[in-house]
Amino acid sequence: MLTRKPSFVEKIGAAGSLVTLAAGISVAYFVSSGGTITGLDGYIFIDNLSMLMVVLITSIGAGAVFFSLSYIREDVERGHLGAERIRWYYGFLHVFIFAMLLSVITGNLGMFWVAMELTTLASALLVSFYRNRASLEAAWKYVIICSAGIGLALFGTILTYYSSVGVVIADGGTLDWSALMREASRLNPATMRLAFIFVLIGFGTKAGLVPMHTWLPDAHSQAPAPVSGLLSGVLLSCAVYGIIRYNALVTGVIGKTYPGTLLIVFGLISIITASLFILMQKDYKRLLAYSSIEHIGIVIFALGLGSKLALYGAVFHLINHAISKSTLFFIAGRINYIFRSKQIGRVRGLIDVSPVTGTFFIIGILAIAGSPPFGLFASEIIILSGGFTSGKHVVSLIALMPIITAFGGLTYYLSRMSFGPRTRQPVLQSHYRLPIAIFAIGMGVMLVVGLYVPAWLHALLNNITQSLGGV
Amino acid sequence: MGYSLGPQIINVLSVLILGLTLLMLGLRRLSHGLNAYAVHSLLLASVTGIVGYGQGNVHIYIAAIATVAIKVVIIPYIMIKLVSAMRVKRETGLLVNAPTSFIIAVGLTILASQVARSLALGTTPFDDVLTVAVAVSLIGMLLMVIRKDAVMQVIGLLTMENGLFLAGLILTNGMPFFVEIGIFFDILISGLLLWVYLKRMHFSLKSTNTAHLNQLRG
Repeated sequence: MLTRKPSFVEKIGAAGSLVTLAAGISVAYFVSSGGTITGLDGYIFIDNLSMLMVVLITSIGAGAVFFSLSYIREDVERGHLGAERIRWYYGFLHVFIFAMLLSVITGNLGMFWVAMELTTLASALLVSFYRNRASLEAAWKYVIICSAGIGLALFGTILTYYSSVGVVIADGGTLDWSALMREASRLNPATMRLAFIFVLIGFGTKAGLVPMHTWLPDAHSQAPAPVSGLLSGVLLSCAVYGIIRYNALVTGVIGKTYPGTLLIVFGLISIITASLFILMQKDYKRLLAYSSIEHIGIVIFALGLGSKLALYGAVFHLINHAISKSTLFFIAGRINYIFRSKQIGRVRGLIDVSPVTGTFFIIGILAIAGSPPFGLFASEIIILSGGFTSGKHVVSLIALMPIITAFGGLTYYLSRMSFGPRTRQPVLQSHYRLPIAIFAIGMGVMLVVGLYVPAWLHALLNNITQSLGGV
Repeated sequence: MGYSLGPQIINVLSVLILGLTLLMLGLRRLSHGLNAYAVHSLLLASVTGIVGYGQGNVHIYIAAIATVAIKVVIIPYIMIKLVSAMRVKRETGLLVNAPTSFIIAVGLTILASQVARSLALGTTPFDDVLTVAVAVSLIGMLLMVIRKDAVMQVIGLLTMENGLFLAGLILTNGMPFFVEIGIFFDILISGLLLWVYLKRMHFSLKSTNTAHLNQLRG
């Protein structure tokens, strides 16, 4: 923001994301070699789960910044954006990434709330970045609905604090998650029950759970593609991260039946609704947005199952969804450039028009639809077998149906867009090569974890499952 | 702080807050709504100040001052300035008429008293204040849902935040200091952000009626 020269801004933006990524990797190195980073009186607390989130945020964040280099330039070339606004774009993007990082590195649930609200504010500016009527509408809905939702989460946070008054500290409460976890059995159960409902609805709004999801398809489809990738892949995961923490806490206070039932109900409603909306989309970015609601629903459902295997699958699914969905949104951004439309009906013969982008799109949709041999297939199988083996047959079957429906819908639109005669409309060819590398990395990772889970990842997931009280 | 003048004043103020919130449901002029919100925040700041005095707690005083600065002065001032530049100064065509919304609000207040009772404060004289706090949050939310004008929706959101702040104050005597700072920071930024969007709406749609925001469906 100090300079108006676009190329200089881009260099600073890219360098900044690399520095962030390096910091993220060093945090990962430190935590995985057996340490937990704590500091500032519990305001900073990075255990394995936080470390995993830090790695996702910094790496996908770097991917989004590098993808922006070509995407935003093309937008400027086509006159969608003024060159003078590039510096604001990178400024907001980094504030957004910072806010997400803050939400996962803090061990204080109050600070988590503050960071979540900050992510809404920073990303809203990016959602409305094109300054047209549709993006204004999307941003307005986003801010109003998420602010109301997060207000409820604030009430839940206050209640959590209230339930701990006199338990951890003699003359006051605390919001330090690990301190609350240690004293979970002594927290006020009635208050925590109430707190969990408010927190689930509040952060569930940010996570896109049905029926609080109405802002999500609008915001995710109107934002610039790199931002859509971050919103769908990472921000939703941050909200789910909060729900994971609260779920572990409430389970410690009153057992897993009550939170489990709530999570299963919200999860199933989300999966079913999203799969129906997937069947009738006209806009492929909205299609991807609804698919995000479906996958977040699956994660919430898995949390609700509560068995060790399902918890393992939930965290694994979160990783897989974050990587594949963000990559897929980047690919969608490139398709939008080539065909100059977000309408499914206007994209014809993608594989003929642009073989490379088309191939990655096919791989991406297959991955996100949950077909083998990709990571999402593996984690869905783990979650469902976690459900069946823990004796929750009915709900697992109910979850399976819409997952298959969504698979059908996604592959149908995939074949309509990719194959067949190419469109008669003139198309543009993107001449940037860097995005291809980003697509390849994202999809490569999905293929690897789908084929086999490396030992260190397995150990990490086991470790996280244990720290969340899975047995 | 014992049964002295303080709690009684707080009870009176909280009744005024609830009354004002109900009144806001009937307001149609945008500037009246914003003025009502400023008074609402001033009452809230007074409650905060009295609680701070009773506790002898400096950081509750800071919260009271921040409330005055952000919610009584800055946000209402910029919003009123914006509204006075608009052509449409009052909301027409309510989704739910005033008497009906009044009845819903009374229902929400009863619900709020149930929530407050389930928290069973009992030991403090603040049960009624907690009822008011939860009721104000719910009525604020109602205002957001039943109004189509964006300015009124913002007033609903801010009113809801006031209710939550009051609940937090009564339940916990203030959150941890840095969290409280963060909450105020967020409210300030979200107020400014909403102001920016209202400005853009006014600029590009010549109106703040959200019925015009109808391009995105399904």
